[in-house]
Amino acid sequence: MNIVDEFGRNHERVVGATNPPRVMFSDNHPVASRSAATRVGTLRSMTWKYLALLVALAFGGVALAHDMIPAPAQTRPIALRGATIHTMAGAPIENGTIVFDAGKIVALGADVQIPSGTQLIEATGKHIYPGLIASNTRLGLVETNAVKATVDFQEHGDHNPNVRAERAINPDSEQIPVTRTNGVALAMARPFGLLAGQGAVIRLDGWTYEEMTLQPRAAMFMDWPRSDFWSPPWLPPKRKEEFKKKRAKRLKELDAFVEKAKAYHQAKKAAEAGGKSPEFDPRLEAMGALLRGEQPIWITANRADQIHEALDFTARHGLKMVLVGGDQAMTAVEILEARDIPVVLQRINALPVRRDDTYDEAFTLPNRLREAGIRFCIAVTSRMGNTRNLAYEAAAAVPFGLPEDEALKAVTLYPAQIMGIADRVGSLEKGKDATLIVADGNILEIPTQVEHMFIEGRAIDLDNRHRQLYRKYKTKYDRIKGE
Amino acid sequence: MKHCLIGVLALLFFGPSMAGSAHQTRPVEGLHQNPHRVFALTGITLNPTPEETLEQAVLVIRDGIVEAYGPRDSVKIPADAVVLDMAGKHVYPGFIDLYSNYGLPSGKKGGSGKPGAAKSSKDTAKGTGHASPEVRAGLRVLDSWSPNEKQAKKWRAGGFTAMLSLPDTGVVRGQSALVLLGTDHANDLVLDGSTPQVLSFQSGVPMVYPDSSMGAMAMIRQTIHDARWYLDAHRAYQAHPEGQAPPALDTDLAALAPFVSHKKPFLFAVRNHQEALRAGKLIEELKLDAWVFAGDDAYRRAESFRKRSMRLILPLDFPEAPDVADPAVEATLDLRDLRHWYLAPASPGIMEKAGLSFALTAHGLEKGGEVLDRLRQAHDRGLSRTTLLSALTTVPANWLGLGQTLGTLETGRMANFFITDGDLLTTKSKVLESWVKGRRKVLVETETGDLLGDYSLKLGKKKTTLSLAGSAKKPTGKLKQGKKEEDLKKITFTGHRMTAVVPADLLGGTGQARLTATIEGETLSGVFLLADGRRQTFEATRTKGHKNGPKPHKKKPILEQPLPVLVPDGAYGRANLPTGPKVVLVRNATIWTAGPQGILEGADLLVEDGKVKAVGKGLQAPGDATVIDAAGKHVSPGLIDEHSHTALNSVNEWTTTNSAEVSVGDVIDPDDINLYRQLAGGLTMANQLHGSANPIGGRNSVIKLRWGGHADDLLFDGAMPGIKFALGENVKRSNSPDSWQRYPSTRMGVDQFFRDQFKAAAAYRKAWQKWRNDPNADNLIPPRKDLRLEVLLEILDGKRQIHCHSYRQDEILMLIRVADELGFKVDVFTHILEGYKVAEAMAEHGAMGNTFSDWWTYKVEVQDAIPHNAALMTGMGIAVGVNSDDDELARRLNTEAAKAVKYGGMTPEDAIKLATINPAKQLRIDDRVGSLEPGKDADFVIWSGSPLSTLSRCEQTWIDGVRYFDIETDRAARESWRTQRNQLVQLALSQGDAKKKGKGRQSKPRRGLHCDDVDAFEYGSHDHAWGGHHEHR
Repeated sequence: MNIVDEFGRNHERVVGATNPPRVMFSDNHPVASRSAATRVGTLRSMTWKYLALLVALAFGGVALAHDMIPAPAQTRPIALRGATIHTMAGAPIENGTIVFDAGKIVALGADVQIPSGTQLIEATGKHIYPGLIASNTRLGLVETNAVKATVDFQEHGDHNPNVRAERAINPDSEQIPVTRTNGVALAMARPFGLLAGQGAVIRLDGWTYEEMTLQPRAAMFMDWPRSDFWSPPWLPPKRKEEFKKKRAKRLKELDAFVEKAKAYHQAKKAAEAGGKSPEFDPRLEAMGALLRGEQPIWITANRADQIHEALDFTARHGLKMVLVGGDQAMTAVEILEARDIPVVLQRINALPVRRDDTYDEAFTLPNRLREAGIRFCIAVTSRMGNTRNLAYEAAAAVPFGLPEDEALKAVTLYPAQIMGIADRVGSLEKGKDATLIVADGNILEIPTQVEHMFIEGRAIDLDNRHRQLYRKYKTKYDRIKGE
Repeated sequence: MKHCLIGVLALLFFGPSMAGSAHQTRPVEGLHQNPHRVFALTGITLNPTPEETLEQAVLVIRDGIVEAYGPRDSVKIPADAVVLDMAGKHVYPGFIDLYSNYGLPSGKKGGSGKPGAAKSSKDTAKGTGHASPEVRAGLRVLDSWSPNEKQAKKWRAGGFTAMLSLPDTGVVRGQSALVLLGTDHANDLVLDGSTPQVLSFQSGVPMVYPDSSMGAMAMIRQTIHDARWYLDAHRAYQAHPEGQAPPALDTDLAALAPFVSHKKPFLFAVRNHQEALRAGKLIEELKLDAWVFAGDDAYRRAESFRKRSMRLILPLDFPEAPDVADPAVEATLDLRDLRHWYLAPASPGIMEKAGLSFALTAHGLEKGGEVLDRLRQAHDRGLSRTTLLSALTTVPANWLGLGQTLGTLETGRMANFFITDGDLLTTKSKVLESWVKGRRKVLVETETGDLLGDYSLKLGKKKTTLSLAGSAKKPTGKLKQGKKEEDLKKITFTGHRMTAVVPADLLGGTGQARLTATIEGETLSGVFLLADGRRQTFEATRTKGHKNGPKPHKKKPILEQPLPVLVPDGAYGRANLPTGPKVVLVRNATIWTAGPQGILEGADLLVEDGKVKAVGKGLQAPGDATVIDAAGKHVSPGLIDEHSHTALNSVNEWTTTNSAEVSVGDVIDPDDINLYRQLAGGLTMANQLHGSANPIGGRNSVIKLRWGGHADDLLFDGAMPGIKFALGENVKRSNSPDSWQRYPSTRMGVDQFFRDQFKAAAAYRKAWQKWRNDPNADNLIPPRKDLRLEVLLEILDGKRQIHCHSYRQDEILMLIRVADELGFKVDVFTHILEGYKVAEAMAEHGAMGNTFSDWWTYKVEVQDAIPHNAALMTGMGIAVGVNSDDDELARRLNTEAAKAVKYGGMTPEDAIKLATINPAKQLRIDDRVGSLEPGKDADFVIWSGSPLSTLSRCEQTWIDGVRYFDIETDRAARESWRTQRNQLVQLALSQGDAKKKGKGRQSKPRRGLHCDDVDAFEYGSHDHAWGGHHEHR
């Protein structure tokens, strides 16, 4: 497999007696079609791309579909050899080899037997990581924030526990290939709102949302109502009172809703032993897993007062909570520890909440949580289409105390654990999914390029719309300069 | 005795019939009333002026004027004077408040019904007033003013006898009225109905120009110029009407004449110390006579006020103790707010020490008693007695030009004064009486409390004590005889008459006896009526008196250690601005020069007198140089952000399509904590830009992040003036409601708009040239100065550069073509996300590009934004930068630059230029900053590793050879901020219950605690709608 990146560097060679015919792999792999040897194919695909773009523009000005072709299933074993393997389950393996087949890791280590018939990829000097996991995203649920027609992450009303994020994922969102180019392989796509609905862990590749969904209904989501009210002197004092009243009313209604759900499920249970089943109510019905403790509720709360209210809410109703955001989580550290509530940090490159907070408040938070024994992971919640910067969010904590291996775990193993999918992904271990990336350097550093991504053994096309446009206009200037 | 007298006097001299007596023009209905009005107050402690206090003094008043005053022996009491024995009472000249709304109609919701509030943009289409509903110079408060007895009583209880009632809506608000707090007809209470003219930075009509404080400042400038021009124009026309078209009539501009020609003052009704300082700048620039309301946070920049020697009005409305009982709530409060709560009462004292002249106002307070309470608090916290009293009397009187009439109780002054039961500042005294123009108003009627005490009498032959205790409102009583005692029940006082019920046992009767008595001075005489009808009379003498006079004033607890004001105040502020060593040598670093020397390993940087002296290996420095061993560290030039909105109080003046007259430099907020945070990310300079709401935006300002300095200290001298332009969705209002639509609403219209504006500017220049070249110019109406068009002329003349917000390639090309056609240049396209599509055209025009590193997809016009933009443009020879447009992102432009290495393969040596020398080129200051080369400003950053690495951090940031950020110092100070917070929290907890006792005003938002919020409001439009600016990443 040859991959020519935008610098024109050729990263790979296919070696060994078991070397398959090069062309065969290329045919299966769209990335390879952009090598010099298959320039014709590239041009053809570009023509199609512009046709697709024209069609898209005709339908409202927004590109509706990308043209990166989903990867086929893994058909033969693949081995990556000679890399530093960051397993997230022990120390990195130097000069290691990882072998995977049928989407699962079958062997990894410094000294691994490569079975015959294996596609061998030389990765000397490269770094292998589990595919990065973005924990708190709108991926697939929005294309362009400013265009309402493309926004699908927030349902009308306060109580929507029944809505399911995966059912609205657009597999052809341009944001998806752009995101995975930087190593993000999996993401929690989540709804927003008060009792917002259920999020799903998706693979960032697939023909349909069903193919993409790794874990449907992975968690219930909630955004705790904001508690700060901006009250300048000239605003009638009434406004602040109204804000407080409205907020209190919403929270009261929320409690009432949970009580209703409890009654509903109690009645359902009673009906099992004979008796009348309650009339079907989609909202209340959807609360079952949450109330039974089978599903966690992820609650976004950043300010101290919000956090304490949310903790109280989940304690009162016996809900399994994950705190999202948690800018002032250190004010609740005893409770978080006692109830083993993990924190999904929404942003590391963030301004402090208070004026007198230290400038590095957000940078140091992951390490302070770690030292306090609180489980955490690092997310990036972007409206600017930049979930791709996930690794750099984690990196931002490193110069402020978070050990580098912890920063890596914070975007791989830890989110997998918090999402309850660590048996499959998040670390590189025998038997786990072959969802991994190969990079030419430290993934935490910006200039590092991701050269390969495999999701369950499937080789993912790392091209994207940005790279396409880059090539197009590079061509323009090459012509002007007569190159 | 005296209590009786008061009641009688009140009837004699204060009946409603008094009201008509002084009118000179009002016809008399019925009989004339001519009461005799000569009084001598004796036995008083008199404070005739702020400096003097006379014990056992006399004050003689005749017909509302002070006739004589002085010590008892020095004053002859006129034979016709009614003598009022006021032994033990204190007399002060009546206070004057220059900042009130006394007597204004209270109006309905949102202030409509108040003076001028009815004016909307529609109204201005009619009549001969100013075109803008915000300019109401002709409006007079007087025309809707009326005395309000209830309000007057409240303020008189605070010592006030005169108030300036201000118009309260608009930018140029109108004329105030100086009124007395008497109860006469308005004709007799107004002392002046046309001064001062009130200006403000806060517009009154929403959605109409101006909508930002910088827009209001621009409007004030233009209006003052207009008013002066209006005088000239009409003079010229009146002298030579022949052959000239008459200048338009504008009653608002005409009304400004006495103010712009220094006959009457202006008053700036602004919101806080920063706006007050901006007002000071306008006063100097426009040469105005003006007073300025300075906010309760004036102490934060006392020195800056002193430099401008401004006339200030300071509020007594100090913040209430913050509610910190719940740690989770406390966690959301800022130390700056806690400090403000603590320091605000010290503000007047601090301003006194800074040598400033100021008046005090009760603005924001609700009760007279609060005024006295805050005065004592200010006094406790350092305000001298003399300055305090003059700030409420002689200072305002002199400013008003009424020093001979108001402000003291010297002979010949108006008899406006108040009487207290003790010293104003050292006791918890109350205002008992308030006199206006020699007319008395008793505020505290007979004090029942004065009647309490032990009275001794004889019942039969037995010595008995009648003991009255408790309080005036809830008296208790006992009848005691030896060891026996009975409680008095149902005690009532009506004036000096009391009644009670007591078991008759001690009186030798049965059942209940009823007591009625009268108290005169020390004697209580009365009768017990027994069950069988017997009457037992008695006379009793007071043996133990109720303690007379007010209690001593108790100071509020303060911190053990003084809390010095910091610049800016709050955490990370400094006691003083930092200074730099003469020579600095940074050794053994990897130095990214961003200049011809490239990246040097193991190199030294030598700095002398704030400039780079040399960069190279093995440099030598004198023995007293500050030497920094930077082995293993990296050094880069200070980072420069070409697109910042940090440290600004307003960003968009969106109400007009061309706001060239507006300048963000007018609203720099040097206290913005993000300056410090960005220093901690290696940023040393920022180009503060207007927002992108209109095609021709406001003017920019270029600052160095000299944290601690005042607004003017931040400005980078010699930066080329600039202006913001904008294209695309924001200016055509794509994402705004239909009702906000205006021309232009397409990119086609934007093209035409630019052409039209520059053509208009050229025509404006011609008009001036024609007038100047006319030999008869002196007799001709001069052209009107148009600040907006003059800015466009600067652009045409190449004296002002353009920073143009732009996304799509067609609009970029369009502006280049307009510029080519009309003869100006576009220096910088900022954001420029499709610059990569027309880089050759930009290069040809000489335009530079400053881009977001990787933002995309948030709106339609950024669908084609790619992170390779910087590399592609650079490839075509364009000087490219990366910008933040965001308070947070500005902390890491170094790693933003690193993205050009990732996307497009730029070398690290070129990438660092994206955040250093290239933005310097774009701002046309690359001869001074942007690289580490000899002779340039010593703005540099020491990094723990490569500046392009996400794993490095900024350790030191230097500007002009001065260390403005140091990670060690920052960490060392953290404990002290925490300690300070804890101390203030403890202090607040010790006073926290005031609100619950009903003393506080919980329902009212506290001014002062929200100063920062006030300012943040104006960010709320377009690109800046998400909590400040763009959400990033």
